[in-house]
Amino acid sequence: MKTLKIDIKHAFIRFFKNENLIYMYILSILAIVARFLKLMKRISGSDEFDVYVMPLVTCLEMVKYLFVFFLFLTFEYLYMLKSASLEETVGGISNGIRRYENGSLSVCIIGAFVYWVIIALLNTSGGIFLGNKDMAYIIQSSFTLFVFVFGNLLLASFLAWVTSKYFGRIRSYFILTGMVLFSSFYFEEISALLFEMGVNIYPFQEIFAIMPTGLKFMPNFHNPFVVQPNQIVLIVAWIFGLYTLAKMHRNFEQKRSRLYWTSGLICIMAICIFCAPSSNILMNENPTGTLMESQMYYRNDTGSHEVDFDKFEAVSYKMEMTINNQLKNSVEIEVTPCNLECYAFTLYHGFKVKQVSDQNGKKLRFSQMEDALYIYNDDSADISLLNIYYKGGSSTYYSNALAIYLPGDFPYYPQPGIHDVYDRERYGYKSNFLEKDAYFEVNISGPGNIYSNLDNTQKGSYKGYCRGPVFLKGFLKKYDYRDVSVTYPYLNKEFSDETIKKWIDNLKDGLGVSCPNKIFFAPNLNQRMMIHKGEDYIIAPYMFDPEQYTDERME
Amino acid sequence: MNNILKLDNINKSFRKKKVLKNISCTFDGGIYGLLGPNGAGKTTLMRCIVSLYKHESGNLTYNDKKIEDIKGCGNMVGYLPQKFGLFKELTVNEILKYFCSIKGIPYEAENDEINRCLQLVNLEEHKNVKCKKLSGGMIRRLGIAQAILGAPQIIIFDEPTTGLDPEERLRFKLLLKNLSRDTIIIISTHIVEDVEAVCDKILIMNDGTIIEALTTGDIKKTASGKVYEVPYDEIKNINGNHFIEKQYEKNNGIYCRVLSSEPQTFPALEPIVEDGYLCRIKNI
Repeated sequence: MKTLKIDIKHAFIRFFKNENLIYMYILSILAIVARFLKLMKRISGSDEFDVYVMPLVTCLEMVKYLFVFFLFLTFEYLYMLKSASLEETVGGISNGIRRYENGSLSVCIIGAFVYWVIIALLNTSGGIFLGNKDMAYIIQSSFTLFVFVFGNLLLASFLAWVTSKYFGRIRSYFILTGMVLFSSFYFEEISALLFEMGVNIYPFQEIFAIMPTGLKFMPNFHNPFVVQPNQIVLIVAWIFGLYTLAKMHRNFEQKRSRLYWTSGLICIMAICIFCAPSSNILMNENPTGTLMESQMYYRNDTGSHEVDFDKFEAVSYKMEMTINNQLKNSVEIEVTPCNLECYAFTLYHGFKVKQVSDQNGKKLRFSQMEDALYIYNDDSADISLLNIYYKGGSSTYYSNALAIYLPGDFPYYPQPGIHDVYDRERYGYKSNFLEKDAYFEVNISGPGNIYSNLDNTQKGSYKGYCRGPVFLKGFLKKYDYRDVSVTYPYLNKEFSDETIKKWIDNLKDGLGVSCPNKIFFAPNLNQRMMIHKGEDYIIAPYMFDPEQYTDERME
Repeated sequence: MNNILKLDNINKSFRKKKVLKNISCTFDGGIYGLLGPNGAGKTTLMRCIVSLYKHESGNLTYNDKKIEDIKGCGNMVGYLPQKFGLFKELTVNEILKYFCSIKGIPYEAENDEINRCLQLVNLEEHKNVKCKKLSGGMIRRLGIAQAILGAPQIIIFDEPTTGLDPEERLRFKLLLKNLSRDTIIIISTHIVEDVEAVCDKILIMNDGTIIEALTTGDIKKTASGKVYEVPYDEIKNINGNHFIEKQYEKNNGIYCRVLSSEPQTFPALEPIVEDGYLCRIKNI
């Protein structure tokens, strides 16, 4: 530790004594602050609906410029040893190169951290100045900035480190420029253009998707621009991969340390997690994701699985859900009658069933075909309970550690019977509820508040009768007024307790209509304008006109 | 206890090219000159001693302990490579402090050690001058200063006098004389005059092997009776295998210094180290 301190001290001397580097760094910080102050001047006092998230949008926009700047700045800094022709001299001293690199990289890490602190402070102070003092938002937006600012700048310095070790200045500049282009929005547009021409380079493009996405989209106040779990994993994979690559290059045949093997292992693990299915809000233009994914999937789906099976009823559901980068659910369904040869369910194809057993723990044969799940009672035994374990996710109705959008009419849980999930003519998901109310007892593990149409008995536990449980998580707030519980996205300036009050008064007094006692105003970015209407709830992306409530379009 | 650095059957290859072939020799306190033509393997051998390269086989021991097993072995070796540069924005003092820190010299002893080394290379007046303001010769002297920082037991100089003017070369030779006699100093060069005056022993390398390890006197002796002064016009009259070392003007005539393995009728000259070295390299 003492030697590291000394190495950092000398690395700082090298950095501060190099006037070009230090002036560039200070100027970049001044430019960030100036850009931010200009924004605040423009939006202060504005009534625009997206005013609360504008500081975050601006901060995230800065990431791409900072990335480019930091990439070349750190390259020049780390390349100093080579450009000064000191590599051999330092290499001739025991641990000389390792200590040089430790010191220099520490300065790069500190430099990236300082950027993050400044940007996070700007974002927080900007939000507070505009009246947004929500702690959950401050924490999550700071975390988002940490991943994108600190994570990406760390990635930049590691890439600069690798190129400075392997190549000369000209080749390195080519590689660094290539990285800038591949991770830019332009490459995304090139991918879209090529996709139209029949060439799909999206799998390749996704490897470089390290920049904040969705900045061109309208803010989703349910979950505005938060970093997706997959993107965190991608950045981690890059950082550890680059570290391994740097350590693979043995300057003058240095020994490989344990860190080399550890980082390689972490990189491989991160790549595996990245490749595994996950449920993200994909806010880029990738036509193979989000909105278009369903269209493309159901275009090829034959829809030929609609066979007449014996009817049965699900009386109750007991679910244990774990939601990280995908949803894992262990569900116990009480079914009646008990002696059918086959129980056919509808379960969205993104959820893969791993195991099915009966009330005695006896494993049952099952098959999954597109959105249909068939469970066979080969022994013609009496089956009162079915235990089904499945995991996966949907890109439209996402469920991850940061955000959940699971409406009750979407088969993210096994629904008795076989029915079409997607409407091929209207390009949207059909509303599929249970035929009768069932009793639900749901436990969800994971941080943050989850809002549901079921009764919240304790943290993470929900109980009650319904024809489809709703689960939502994000920057939402609950407000009860006149027996109506309204959950709304407080980051949208159009929503407030006052506006909700007026809206309910208008609905009840003005129009005299009775409405479900649970209303969720929560935009789903992946399927923006969809309204979900159940018997006991409505999920709407915006504060719809109360007169519209009786309108057919709400159906 | 004497310092003994022992190389025993050291081999080193780069891909298929064998650069060092069964190198064996022993160094104890004193100054050693490593002479050889370009590509003989001098730099590779030095890099192996400094642990920059890992030798493939053989043993490299210091006082009977394997070099790689000695903790902090890199710090007991001072090394000045052929190519030596500096962080130009730093001052002489700052760069030497950096070397002190990575060499593990205690913080409180740094200033004294820097002053001692700067005095030895005659750079004490430039202590607070930025490296970018130093001349090529001064940079080389600073390189020598960093190599002797911490009084290492083994000092290796690879082409140390490149870029030095005659006065500085003389100073370098004096500096070598002033270093402790217990220290092992190895100087690699192809400039024979540099090693002639200061080295106790000269090792001649060619094609990856040490072909001779002799004192300067013995090297001279190997060329005894083989050096002739031949008028330029009579070169064609030399018998047998010979090598023209150089030509020069003398008494309004042009003469050549010629090495020949066979007796000649021309006047014989007193051999110098360079003659002995060339005789071994050219197989004369």
